[in-house]
Amino acid sequence: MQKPELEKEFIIGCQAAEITPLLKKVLQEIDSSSLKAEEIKFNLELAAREMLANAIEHGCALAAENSSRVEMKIRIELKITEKELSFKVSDPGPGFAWQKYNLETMPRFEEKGRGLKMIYQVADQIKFNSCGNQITVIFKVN
Amino acid sequence: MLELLEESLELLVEKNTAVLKFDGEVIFDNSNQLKEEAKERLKGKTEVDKLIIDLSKVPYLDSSGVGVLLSLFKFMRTREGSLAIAEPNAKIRRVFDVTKMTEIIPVYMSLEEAVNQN
Repeated sequence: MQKPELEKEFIIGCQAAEITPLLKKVLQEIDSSSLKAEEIKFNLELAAREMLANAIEHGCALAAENSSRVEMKIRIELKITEKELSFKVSDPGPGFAWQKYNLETMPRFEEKGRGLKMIYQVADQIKFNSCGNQITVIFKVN
Repeated sequence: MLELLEESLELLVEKNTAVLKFDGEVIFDNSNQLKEEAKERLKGKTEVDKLIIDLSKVPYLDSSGVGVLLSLFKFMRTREGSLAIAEPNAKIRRVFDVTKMTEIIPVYMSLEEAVNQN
């Protein structure tokens, strides 16, 4: 495992209004690192917005339905090494059966179901934990 | 919320053409309300068969926002009308590319260009 040049953790509440300020901080952290890749930042923002939207819309909502005791927070980890940038989002929800999910076929006229497929399209790699309440995207650094 | 919505959506109608202007992000948090409000306003304008959505004041539109555009595309199709998008920024154009939305709805770089298309 390569030693990260930058490793940061952020925590936000389950509020859409927290997404833009968080992304501003994340992009500032990237700018302060030696990574100079506008295309990665562009794609990261697109992926991150979908990941955070899913965390709030599904993870937080299901967590609230299932238990009033769970901490309604979303954890975000940004890691940059010489070879890659990884961005991880963990939500308080029960997860979903990502193993059965088709990430490749983009819906045509349907109004929903594009978020994860968009993430899959722009990232070099996408990973889930076993229960599906944690998603990581990886972008390779040239 | 109603007050917020009124500020974030404006409908201008001239003859059979309407320009629907969103102001602010169109994302999962407000997409349903914006979609319903837009349809509600269009229902009263039965003469409109050409709708242009002006995105010049929209900093970001996510996958739910794409859903709003497709819903309005289908709404216009039911009245045998058309829908076009005008002035999306570079981030939104990237969202359109990734979702292949441009294969369904025409996108123009300026409002004038969108209005002048048949």
